Amino acid sequence: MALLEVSHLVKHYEKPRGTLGALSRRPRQYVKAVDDISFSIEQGEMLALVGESGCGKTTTAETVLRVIEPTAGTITLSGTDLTGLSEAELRPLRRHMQIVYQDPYASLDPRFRVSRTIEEPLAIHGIGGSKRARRDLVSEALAQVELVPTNLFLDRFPHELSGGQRQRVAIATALAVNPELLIADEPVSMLDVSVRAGIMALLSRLCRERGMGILLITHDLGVAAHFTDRVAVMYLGRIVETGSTRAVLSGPQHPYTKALCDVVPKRQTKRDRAEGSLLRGEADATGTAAAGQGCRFRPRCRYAIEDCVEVDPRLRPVEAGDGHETADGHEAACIRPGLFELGQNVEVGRE
Amino acid sequence: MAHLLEVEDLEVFFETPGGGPDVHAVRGVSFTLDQREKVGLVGESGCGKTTTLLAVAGLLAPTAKISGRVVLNGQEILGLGDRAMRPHRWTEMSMIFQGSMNAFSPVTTVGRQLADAIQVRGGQPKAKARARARELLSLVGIPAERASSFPHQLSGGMRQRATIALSLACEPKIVLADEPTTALDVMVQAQVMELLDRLCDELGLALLLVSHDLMLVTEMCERLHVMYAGEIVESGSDDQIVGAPAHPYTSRLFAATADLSTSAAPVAIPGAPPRLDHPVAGCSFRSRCDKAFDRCEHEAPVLLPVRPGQEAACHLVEDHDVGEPGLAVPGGSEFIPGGRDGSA
Repeated sequence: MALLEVSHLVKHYEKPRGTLGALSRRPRQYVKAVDDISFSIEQGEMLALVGESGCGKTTTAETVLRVIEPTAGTITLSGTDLTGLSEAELRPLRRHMQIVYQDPYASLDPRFRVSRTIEEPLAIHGIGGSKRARRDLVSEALAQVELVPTNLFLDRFPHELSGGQRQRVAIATALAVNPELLIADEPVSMLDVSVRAGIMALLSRLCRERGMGILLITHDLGVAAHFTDRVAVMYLGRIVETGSTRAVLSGPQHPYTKALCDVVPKRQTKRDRAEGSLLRGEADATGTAAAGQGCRFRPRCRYAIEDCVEVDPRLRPVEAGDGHETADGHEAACIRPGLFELGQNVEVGRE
Repeated sequence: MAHLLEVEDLEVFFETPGGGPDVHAVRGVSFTLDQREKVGLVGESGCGKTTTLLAVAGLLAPTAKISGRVVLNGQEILGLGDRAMRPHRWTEMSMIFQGSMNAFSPVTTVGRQLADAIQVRGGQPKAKARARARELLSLVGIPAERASSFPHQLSGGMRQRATIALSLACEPKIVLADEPTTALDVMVQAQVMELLDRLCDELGLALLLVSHDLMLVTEMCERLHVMYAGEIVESGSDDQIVGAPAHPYTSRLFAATADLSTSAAPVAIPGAPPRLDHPVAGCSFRSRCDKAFDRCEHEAPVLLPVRPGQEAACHLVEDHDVGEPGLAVPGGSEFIPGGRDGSA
């Protein structure tokens, strides 16, 4: 049984149609923020949900946490279906799923010392009993995120910490209650390039050592590349490609994944840069491409053909040249398979 | 040959409230910018790159103590008051700031703000300024009718395009860009960088780009300066920095960045830069450097030529024969540029 099982998750928002619209019985219109996606995370596994701003990745995360209510679909954590639960029933389960937010400058209370920030969730969930026992747990959490010696950090305020250290405190706060699932929403995008790898390596290690499942939300395939087991690429509410990180990044099969791979800056000069592969425009969740039939990526896709207007592509297993499905559960939602060679790129992925 | 912009031995100190020692934020920084040239300043948070940029633009708080020379078009502009600086801003030198949300006033339309800048700085009549504002928006790929949009009605990418339009309002010769894409996702980042690159080429602008992302800058600029703890520790052409970096810090910055063209996982640089309110004895990078030796403890390295056009401040380059390109560089990696296919 998977740790987290998300099945046919849907989150639609109704577009405002105004009083006149309602009176004239104009049909309701919806923004399909998340439109029928399914994925699962095993214990000790890190899954990256990758896509541009507005593709629905954060909505997915918040729906999993039941911070926002899904329109349809089920979310199962360790066998318990979360979707039907009331707020009171959900509360004891909350400690099993924690989140680390993007901006460690905003997510930590500036008036709380590090020790108090980490201790608060312990107190809320009634973990640790005595104050002394709780303090030991706080120190342990700090040690887990490599803020050692811990007594050097316990009494500090957030403004006395660097961005990377703050994000480590945010991770320690999430870890303190010993969750089974950690959602990391763009945990490194606010940080300097020089410390990003350290935070990602930390998450990767915690995931493995503690058998925790991690859902990593990121817009940057470069961040996902070397530290995650599997990736799911989202575009306008749908997963358009998924599989092991190694399989997907070494041979992206969906034109969108290919474009995401191409925009990650590389160690090269301007002259070496491949010309003309850049996608135009932005993913518009409120636009016609998201609402209508056919492939949602079509308006920005250089490989689009007439059929793409009609056919709504669903995830299909990627076939290797010999007609067999590739290993690693590699799937892509494009009606033109074989646009790009498999295993063309350098193999990257978690060791 | 006269340079378009020449910065020489720039020093910036900030007073610490409460009478502590001054923060020595920029330490003897020198570089030049020529017409149509794209130059990058790269380094971690707190390395002094933004302070350098603000000092050049004359935008530092009056409490900052600045010395050195900043020569724009043959005229010394360091220390000029606001009034004396005014003719140089916008028309000769303009700036793109990091947070595009904060670059615009939230209560006025984008078109109006653009037109205001053109009217005030360029001395154009209102109608002409408005027309020019629409023209500028089209230039950066925003439909002209969006001139009547308020900043919050634009996406992050569009807003950053609009700030680029704003910086071009009075046809400057130099654009100073401070982390122009940091708050954006990678796809929009690539679009904005491509736009900036194309506009600089088409309009013949010189660009000074500040960023913490070394790979972003190498893909954009012809000349790079890597800053650490207030100093330039390495300078070189894009080819030299990409192919044979001489300072261990530059190599570590490359190694810390996720790169899909190599199977090696990125490795963070351990530790943190030194505090800038105390003088640093020896090499400022030594505590984080895996190549540090005795000499780095007590003697600060100075910028020395590595090969023509490339300089580095590291004791390891001292005995290097200058003028023989292609030699193995201490601290440099054996990386061969050429992208994805070449490095498989």
